[in-house]
Amino acid sequence: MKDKLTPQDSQTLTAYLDDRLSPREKAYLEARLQQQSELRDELEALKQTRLMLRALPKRRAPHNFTLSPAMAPRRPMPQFFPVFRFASALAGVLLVAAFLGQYVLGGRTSTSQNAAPAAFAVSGNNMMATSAQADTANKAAIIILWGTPTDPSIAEGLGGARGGGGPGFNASAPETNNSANASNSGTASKASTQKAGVLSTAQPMAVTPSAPADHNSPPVYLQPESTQTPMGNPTEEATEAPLPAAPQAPSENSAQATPTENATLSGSPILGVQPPGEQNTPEPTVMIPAQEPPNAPVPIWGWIEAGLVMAGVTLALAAYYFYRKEK
Amino acid sequence: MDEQALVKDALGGDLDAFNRLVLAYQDMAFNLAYRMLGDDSSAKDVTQKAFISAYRGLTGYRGGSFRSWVLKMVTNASYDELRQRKRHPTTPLEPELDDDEEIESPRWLADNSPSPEESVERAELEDAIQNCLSDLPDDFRIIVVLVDVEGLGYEQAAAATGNPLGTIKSRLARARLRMRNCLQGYWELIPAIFRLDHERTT
Repeated sequence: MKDKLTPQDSQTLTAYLDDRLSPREKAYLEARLQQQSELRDELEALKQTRLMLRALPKRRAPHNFTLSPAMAPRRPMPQFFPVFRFASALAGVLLVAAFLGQYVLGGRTSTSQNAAPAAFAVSGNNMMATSAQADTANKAAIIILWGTPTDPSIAEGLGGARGGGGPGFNASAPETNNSANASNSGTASKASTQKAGVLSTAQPMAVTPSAPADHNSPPVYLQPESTQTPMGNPTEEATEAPLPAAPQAPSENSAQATPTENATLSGSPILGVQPPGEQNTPEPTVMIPAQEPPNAPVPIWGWIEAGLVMAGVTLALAAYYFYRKEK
Repeated sequence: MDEQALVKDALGGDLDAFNRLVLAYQDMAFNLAYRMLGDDSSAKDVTQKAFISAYRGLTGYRGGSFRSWVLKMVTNASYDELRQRKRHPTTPLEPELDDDEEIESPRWLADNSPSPEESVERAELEDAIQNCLSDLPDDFRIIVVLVDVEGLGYEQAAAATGNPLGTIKSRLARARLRMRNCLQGYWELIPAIFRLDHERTT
């Protein structure tokens, strides 16, 4: 009897018992039921089984399962601990990256960080502060020339200006060496002039540069008027008029500074020294606020690192707080 | 009873509102747990765990039949208990007679108030059905209990178990077939009892 029934028949009979068949399926099954006695027996057995299952006594709860406040679990709060933990770790990673960025990427500028920042005092009505700032930003060496830049004698004063933009325009050993080399070779002076920054003005000026010099600085020219006009390419001028001697910072220690001294005494352009006769002329002094030397450590690194440390510590404390609270 | 309003209040932290829902569904929940597990103590534990889980996971209730949702909690808790039993099988304690013969059924604690014969027959039939239920695979048993014992529709059973409707249909058919085969041994007893029930109810 049962061998003739398939699992599909059982499923159809079950659906028929639960009235889950479509009208067409129901009609087809009822037609079969009239013809097949074994199918009717199976349907009766399934109906009896279902009846028995439905007749099972319903077990009642032996006691109430209501929740007391102590039993009621606290609903899970939003999980802040993982967020703060991640943020704290991220701050730590960024802090390490900031250190690396400062000491690895910024390592190239650390060699000239010993230049002392100071005020940039400029005398003269026509001093172009913006130009000076731009030069400072470009690591320019500032060379002040007195007299007319078109004067051929300028070339005499410009020669060997390499290194003239040394720290504080103070004569030092490198400048002395440069001047010594330049006095021996006009070609060297020309080459040096190409790299020297030059400030020229028709009026005497007293310049106290504060920015550290760089030998790769472009020249800067100052005009007597407010407009700044380069007085020609110093390279070209240097090429046209090879310098017989290399100028240098007013260093009395150098035994080979005679050409420079002569130029100074004759009113030729000289670094940071007024021509004779004008030294007693009072000049208004414009104080340019002290600026960070271009090669000094950039303070933003410090701020970034300090901020990251603060953020990391704060986030770590918050993470610990939420860890304890959520635990 | 406005179910949805109680759920809303319970979500707002009103434990009394949730307990009203518990009182409404605790019998059904306990019966399902009992039919799934076969013993009172486990059914009580599972029912309590299910309501605790329900309160904790009330935010996961997305509307619809709250009854089905509660039954789903009970179903999950029952599955957890069954899995734990499989990992750590235990031997049930059976009371013994003086002659060292075990009583096959722990019905010696039951209250046989109506009539001894009838109560015994009923108890035996219930035990037989419960034994047959226990022999079913868990996935079949939950379906037949939900549909035939608890009286849920196919859709509600599907919602309570998380199974598709086709799975419910096929498993129910196979479960009923197995139950029919299992209960054949009690066939002589069953009609008389059902006749009695039928006479009483009519």
